[in-house]
Amino acid sequence: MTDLRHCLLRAAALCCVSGSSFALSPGDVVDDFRLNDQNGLSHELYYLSDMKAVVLLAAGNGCAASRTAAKAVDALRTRYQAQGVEFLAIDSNLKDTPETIAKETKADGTGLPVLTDELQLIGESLGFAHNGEVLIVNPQNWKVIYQGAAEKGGNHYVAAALDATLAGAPVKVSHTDAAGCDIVMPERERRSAHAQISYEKTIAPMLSAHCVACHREGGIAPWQMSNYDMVRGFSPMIREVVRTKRMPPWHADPHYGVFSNDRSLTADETKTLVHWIEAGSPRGGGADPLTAVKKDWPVWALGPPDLVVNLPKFDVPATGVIPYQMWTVDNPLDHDVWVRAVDFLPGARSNLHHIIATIGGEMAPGDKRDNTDGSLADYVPGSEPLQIPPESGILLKKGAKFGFQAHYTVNGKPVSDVTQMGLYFMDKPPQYRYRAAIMANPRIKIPANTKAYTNDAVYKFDREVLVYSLHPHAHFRGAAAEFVAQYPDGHEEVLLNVPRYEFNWQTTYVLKAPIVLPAGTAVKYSMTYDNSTQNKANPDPNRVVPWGQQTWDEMLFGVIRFRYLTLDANPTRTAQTSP
Amino acid sequence: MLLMVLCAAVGAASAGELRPGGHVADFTLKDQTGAAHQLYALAGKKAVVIMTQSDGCPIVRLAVPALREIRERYRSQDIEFLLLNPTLQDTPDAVQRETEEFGFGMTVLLDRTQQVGEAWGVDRTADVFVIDPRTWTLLYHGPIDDRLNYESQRPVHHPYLTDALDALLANKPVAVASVVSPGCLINFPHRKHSYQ
Repeated sequence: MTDLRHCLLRAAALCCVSGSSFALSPGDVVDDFRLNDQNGLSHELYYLSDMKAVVLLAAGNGCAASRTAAKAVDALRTRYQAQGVEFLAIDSNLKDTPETIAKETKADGTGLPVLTDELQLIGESLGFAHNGEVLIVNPQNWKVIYQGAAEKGGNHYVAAALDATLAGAPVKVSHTDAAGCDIVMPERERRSAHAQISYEKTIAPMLSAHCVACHREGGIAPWQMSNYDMVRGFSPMIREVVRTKRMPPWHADPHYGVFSNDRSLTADETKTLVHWIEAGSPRGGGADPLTAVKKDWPVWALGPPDLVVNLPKFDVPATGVIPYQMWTVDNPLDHDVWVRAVDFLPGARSNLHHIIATIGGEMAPGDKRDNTDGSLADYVPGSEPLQIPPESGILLKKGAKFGFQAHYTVNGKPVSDVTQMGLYFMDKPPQYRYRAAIMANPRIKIPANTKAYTNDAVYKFDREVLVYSLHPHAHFRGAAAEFVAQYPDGHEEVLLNVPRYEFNWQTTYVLKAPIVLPAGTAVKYSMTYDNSTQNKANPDPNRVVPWGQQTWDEMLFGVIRFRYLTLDANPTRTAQTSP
Repeated sequence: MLLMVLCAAVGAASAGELRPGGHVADFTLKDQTGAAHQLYALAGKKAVVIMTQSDGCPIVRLAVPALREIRERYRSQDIEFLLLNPTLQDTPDAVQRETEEFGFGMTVLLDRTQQVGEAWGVDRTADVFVIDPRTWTLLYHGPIDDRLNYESQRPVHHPYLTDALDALLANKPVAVASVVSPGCLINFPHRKHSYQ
């Protein structure tokens, strides 16, 4: 009976609605997605696998039907959240921004997170047509169990569906007609045009530019974008990793800051790629540019280094969780030098996931050394060499030791790695020292079985500085990070928001235009940890997690690279001892 | 009448999914070396365990050693362990290279026309199908356990596959018969997707 009804619904959708329009029907699977809400917090649908039901509401600013539905759904939220039901609104309206949404929800007094679907990719695939309509999803199989109005004519359809689901009974009314303000989705009307997107001229060049640095023979990505057939075969997977923001591996919220090492696709590229896949990944005519991808790897992009440092050999096993490797390596030089650039040449690109290099080991709070020294450079797959701005440099003193933290991933076969670090020196001392401000809390204790625990540390700049980059750092339980500047005049500015922190990608976010922070500015660095079973990387949610160097322990640790704006009187002296 | 025709077409698209308790039809497929294998020729086995595979999927590469270890542990029980590659892009040569490079040590059935994959409603790789050859019914469908995810591993809390095998060997019902696999999505171009 239910099948017949689905069938009739689908048939009605197929024959009675205009050709380009469609709606998800009860029984259809909802694909995974990740979106930020109006407050910059990240939400992933499939993270909610421990819920009994997920209620999704199509919402839009300035729409009476949406406001009425939002209030009804918010009231249900108060009633059902404790019973394991999650409620999320999704705003797919092009005119709405996180700022205007936050304003409206604040004015309405609703506590519902409103996810901003600025690319409309999620709203399109959910078949949202009107603000105010509701989808209920069963997290056991991600199938739709109800689609339609929140309530109508005194009938509380959503509440009835939730009561039935919580009681383990079938949902009696699984579809109603929802009215409300139309959601304008220009691309949904252009589905036939998406089949004309050129693989040769548009898709392959986009993949070459953004993906092939890793998705190539010997790269760290597990499969190679070596031709059309491979791309077509992995198309549904590409769509999933793009929709869930796993790839490309760039985790900054695009609403704050512009970064020179931004690895993400632009909004237009993302839409084009997903629409091409949804059109069936058509090959079209022309050559296959991906077959011409070069086979060699760059060797020392800046030319031969002045000093090459060999890191210890490491044998990577086929599988398992590998602890971070911590190494100390002697500096062979018998004189002080100033470093202007640092590069890495990995031995096993397929397994080396990151290196954090320091002079004298990783800085920790309470360290006797000046805490603006110590950081050197990081390696992540596909990264460019560190080139310190021309008037600045890092002092490498004779007799100092290099410290390395190396992170390897397993890929199913054993591999040996010897990585090299190349250093490039300056001819004469620079005007400024390239410094690092460390924000850390070694007394951190993350409670057990907690989905979101936030801790922060503050660094106050007592002189005017020019900030170059920001680096959040945590381990398996890191979930979200933020750097907020608190200016002397009292106003605050988000310098970097990382709504979904991913410990595998230890990214340094390099500001495209360095920013000036006036003397007296405090930067608050915060990290939110997920110590629950829903965090798939969490080795033990029952543990209260302390500070520690290893990935099963945690760190609240952020780094800001900067220089003082005024000339250093004597840059070879450390900040602590200079006036 | 038009509605009936549409219903038949739509029904066919969703009826393909093989669920626990469902019947597994016979098939014959070649493996990566060209040798043919018929499912129902395994009628004398106590169980047939088939895991979906595609070249280049990190979850598969890390799951195969665990599957091999389980095969070893149940060696005396006469259970057949096979891999099934229902992709369009992986040629026999490519699959052979993958099995050698990663030391799979297992037979990979090549479903090059996606016939079995379509019939079973396969969605992802590293998805294990446990079949009871006495009745050719599906007993379990899901990952080996809850260890793997993309770029992360954690200790096993739910050994789904061995739980299912132990239940079968003890003639008991399988308690957890269906779990969503974290494996890689496989492209079935002829399948209708909800977004189309």
